[in-house]
Amino acid sequence: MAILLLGLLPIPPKLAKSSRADKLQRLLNADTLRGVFEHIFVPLKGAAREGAPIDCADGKIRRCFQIMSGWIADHVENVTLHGIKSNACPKSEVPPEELGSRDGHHRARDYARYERYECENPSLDSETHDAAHARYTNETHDIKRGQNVFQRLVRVSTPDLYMPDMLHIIYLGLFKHMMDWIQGFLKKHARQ
Amino acid sequence: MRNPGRCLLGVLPVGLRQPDSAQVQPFRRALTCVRSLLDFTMMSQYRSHIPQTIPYMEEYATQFHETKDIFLEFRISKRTQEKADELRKELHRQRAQIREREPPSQLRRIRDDDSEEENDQRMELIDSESNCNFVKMHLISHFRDHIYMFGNIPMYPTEYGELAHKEQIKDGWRRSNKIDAARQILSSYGRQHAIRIRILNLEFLQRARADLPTEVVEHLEKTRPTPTPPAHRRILKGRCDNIHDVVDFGRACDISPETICRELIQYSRLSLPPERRQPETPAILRALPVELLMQLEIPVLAFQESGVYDIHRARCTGARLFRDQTSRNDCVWIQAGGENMYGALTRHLTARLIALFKIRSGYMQQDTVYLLAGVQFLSLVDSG
Repeated sequence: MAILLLGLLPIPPKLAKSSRADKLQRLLNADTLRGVFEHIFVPLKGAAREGAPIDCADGKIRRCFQIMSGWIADHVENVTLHGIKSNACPKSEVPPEELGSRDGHHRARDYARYERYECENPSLDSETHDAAHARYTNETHDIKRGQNVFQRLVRVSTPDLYMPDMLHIIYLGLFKHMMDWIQGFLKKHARQ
Repeated sequence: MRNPGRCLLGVLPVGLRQPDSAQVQPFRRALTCVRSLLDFTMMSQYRSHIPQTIPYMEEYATQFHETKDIFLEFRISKRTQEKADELRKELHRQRAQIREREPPSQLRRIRDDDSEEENDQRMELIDSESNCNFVKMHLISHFRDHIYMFGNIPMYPTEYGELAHKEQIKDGWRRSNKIDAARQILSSYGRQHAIRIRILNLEFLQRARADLPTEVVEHLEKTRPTPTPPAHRRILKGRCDNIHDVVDFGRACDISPETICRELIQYSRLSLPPERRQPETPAILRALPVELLMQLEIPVLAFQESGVYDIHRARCTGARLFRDQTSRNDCVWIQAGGENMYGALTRHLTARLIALFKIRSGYMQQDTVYLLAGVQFLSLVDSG
């Protein structure tokens, strides 16, 4: 696996509990991040739409369409990039109270729809029916409005960008929880 | 966390052995839960899948979800804990009022009943309030679709990204002059990468006998890295000072020199070829030069890999303290006997390390050093 550094993202200092001023700062941070990503993705958009000539191993030059198909990141990074709340899944529209249940097929996230709502309703505070609907969608699907950096990419399926990752989900996530549970279990049954 | 995951299933049943009648069910359920999560993890590490392996993985995930409620009570949030405390206080207050009227002779029985009721109420509250609704619990349900769409799961790890953070950003920052750091960090790794690719290209051209300028050839010869031997050997580390012969060795390990001599003679008789047998005179054996060591690095083939080794460290500190806490003498698997001995253990036995040492051959003309380990076999106590 080869990893090349394309850019350094601006990381703002952490904010404490939300106040009104912080809320504005958060919005500014998210906008800045989106601006940086738009800048990074500029070459990708042209290549996905028109294709780009690339040397092939057989000596010929081929027209290739580079389409982004995955983004390797941990959950917190995914939350920031997809513009969702921290207890939401970037791939499917699962309500927070059903995160631990096994069954239930949840609809895949439709980022294009969220984007459409956002374009149609520039202000969520208005009293129109559409604005109320958009507000409802944002709340039920745990979306932070207008903070998805993958918007307007060509030929990219945004919910499929999410890549599961053993290190953070299993080793640092479930295993760590399980060790705590087992400790509690052993203590309860006096087996220490 | 990766290594605890490996030994957890070996250790937990030992911790939960000999349950009483009320514990049998919960213990079985807890073990099933842990086992199914570990099985699921193992399956998701597979480098390739066939249509049969994915349902297996799914089955383990389902089993884990079905049995995870056994650990539900250990997922208490602070709010639930506060509620439970409040409930207990409320109960206590109510009872204090009632109890004033009871005769003292019945107090003991009443107190037992009370604590039982308290426990029941607490469990009820926890059952209704606690849940396993956190995002990582949900994310494992996407593993299946991911395998169908993109192939195996370890193919897209975050480890490389995290490592690149050091190599590409932190090292870049250190090399920069800290004034216009961002730009220098960005160009630093790109430059290194380009040089590495250039060297590879030049080496290829050299092998293909292309016409290269002499200074390029000289530079390639100078910078060519010397191949390091693969580290697939067991390595002894942590030499102790002041140990010169068997007598010192016995004193350090609290074993009498006679015992050591006896064991050495036995080893020489059983394991060495006849022409290399060691002298059996205690006086010679006692004077043999010995080095005592504290750590053995054992390369173990990584799970699902062919050329990658994990290093397991077996430590044996004797009576000395390990990191100023307690002494540490690890348990190890010993290969002994034939292929079909000891049932499922296939000729492996568990033993505890007593000492790791190097000893020179008893004959002066033989320049051989034997690397040995003293072990004590573990036996079953109270039928396991």
